[in-house]
Amino acid sequence: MAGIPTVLLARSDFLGVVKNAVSGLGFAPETPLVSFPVDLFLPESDLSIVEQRRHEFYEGLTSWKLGGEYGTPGVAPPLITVSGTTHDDALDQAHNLILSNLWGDGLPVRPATPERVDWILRGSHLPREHVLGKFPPRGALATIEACAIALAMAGGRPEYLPVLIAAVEAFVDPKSGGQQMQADSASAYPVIIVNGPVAKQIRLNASFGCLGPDPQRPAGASIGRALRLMQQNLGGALPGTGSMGMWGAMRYTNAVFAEAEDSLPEGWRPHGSERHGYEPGRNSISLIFATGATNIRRRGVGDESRETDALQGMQRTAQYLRSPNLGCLIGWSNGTPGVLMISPVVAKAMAALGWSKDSIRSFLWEQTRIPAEQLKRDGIDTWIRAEPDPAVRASIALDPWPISSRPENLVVVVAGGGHPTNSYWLEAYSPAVTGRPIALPECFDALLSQADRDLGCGEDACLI
Amino acid sequence: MAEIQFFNPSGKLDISQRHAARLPTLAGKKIGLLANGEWQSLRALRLMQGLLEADFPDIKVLPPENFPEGNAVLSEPGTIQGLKQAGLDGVIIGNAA
Repeated sequence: MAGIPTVLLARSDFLGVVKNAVSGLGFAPETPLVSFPVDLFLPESDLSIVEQRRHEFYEGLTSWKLGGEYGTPGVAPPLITVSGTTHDDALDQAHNLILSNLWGDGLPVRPATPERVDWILRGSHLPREHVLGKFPPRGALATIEACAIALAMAGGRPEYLPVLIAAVEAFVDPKSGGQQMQADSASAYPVIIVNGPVAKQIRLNASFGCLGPDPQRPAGASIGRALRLMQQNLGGALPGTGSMGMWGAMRYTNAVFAEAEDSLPEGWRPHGSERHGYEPGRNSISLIFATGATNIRRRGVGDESRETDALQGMQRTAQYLRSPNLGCLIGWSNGTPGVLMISPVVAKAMAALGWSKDSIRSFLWEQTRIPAEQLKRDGIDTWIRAEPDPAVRASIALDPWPISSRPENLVVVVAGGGHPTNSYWLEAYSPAVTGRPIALPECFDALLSQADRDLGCGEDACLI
Repeated sequence: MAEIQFFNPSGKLDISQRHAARLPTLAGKKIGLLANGEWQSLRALRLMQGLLEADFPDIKVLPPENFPEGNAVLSEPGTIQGLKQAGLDGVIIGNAA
């Protein structure tokens, strides 16, 4: 640290996290540390083992030496060759090698052959060696080629690459929270909301089943899976070693979907415009980290009036959102407590009653406030006071306490099947909501035509 | 016989910094203790202070209270500048947990 010899006192099951953090700072990942089982770090633990092993700390500051060779900047990623008696056998060998090197996700992946990677690279005008940033926390270089390799493994296509590149750009932004989310115990996963015509063009779902799986609109699965593989292979988020995500997120594909812009009621602006200021119609992504996803029963089942049906649905939504969970703390100032997904049919009905995205946010912000008495009863007040963000600490004075600093932090998008029963809530654990424009290559129309030939003309997308 | 050639997907690390040279001895040195403030870090580091001072009577140990505390600030420029200004010869950080 700063040219000063340093030794770490570490938890043995966090060694992968530590190595990732060290290499992310530009050092070789091996570092002097003394590790102990988790028991040492619990309240009133027996510290005698620290005394017994104190010489290891002393040696870390005096005689520790770096072993091995690390880092060969400028050298292309090595190509690997496997062979088998048949092509199928060789594929098995490749798959086994990918798993044994901890590069896969458990499901079969396509080996990223040079031919397939070159094909996918047609989806970007940028040179393959162009660096988008260091993928946190391990810090491997997130190049265009690395994106194409991951997309090849995830079964992707070249027309998906621009969206993946924008998502990676957002992820490696130090302000996005990606570094913490990769290692955090919260099992957070990235949610990518896509706005603009590119979504329909590449067959990205905004309707029934938009969170997948969907063989008719497969783009979200491939893009999200590629991002997940990059989180692991470049960023080091291996379960239990590089990532302390306690449960995992059950999301091999993360969550990549489009807002149903065709179904936005008059006056309702796309998410990319509202949150990031992009002109309507501009292709863009928005990155949010989430920890959960659930239905909220929205419609009534009696003979309610339209107004009562809408209001009761909003009240039920608010009561669910005001659960004294703590995921909202990290995004209280500048992030979001979550993403509320409203189906097009519900958006239309609510707009007819005068609701807008803004009024939905304002209603929910007011109705989700938690009385100080409850904060204290549930021990939330101590977590608020422990937050590093001074604005969060100061918010303890607010009674009732709002789940975000302002209504605008709540994300409301129109997406999902045309059905009124449920809304959907992606509970966030997201210090930021990070947007990026999507840059398309000149040959994009040709890529879409090829997709039509390969996949057939979809209902919404066909150039041939 | 069939062959498949494919890319290693783990990417390239950009190793741009070297670990600091180690000390010949801790005797007579000035050691700083940095805490992330979680997982009982202060307990372990206070114990370490006592052990260092017992094992190296002429050592000077600056306890965690002398430095910013918390995961978010440990690698910030202001914290690092403070370590340099304190004239530290070595640092022990707890807890990487």
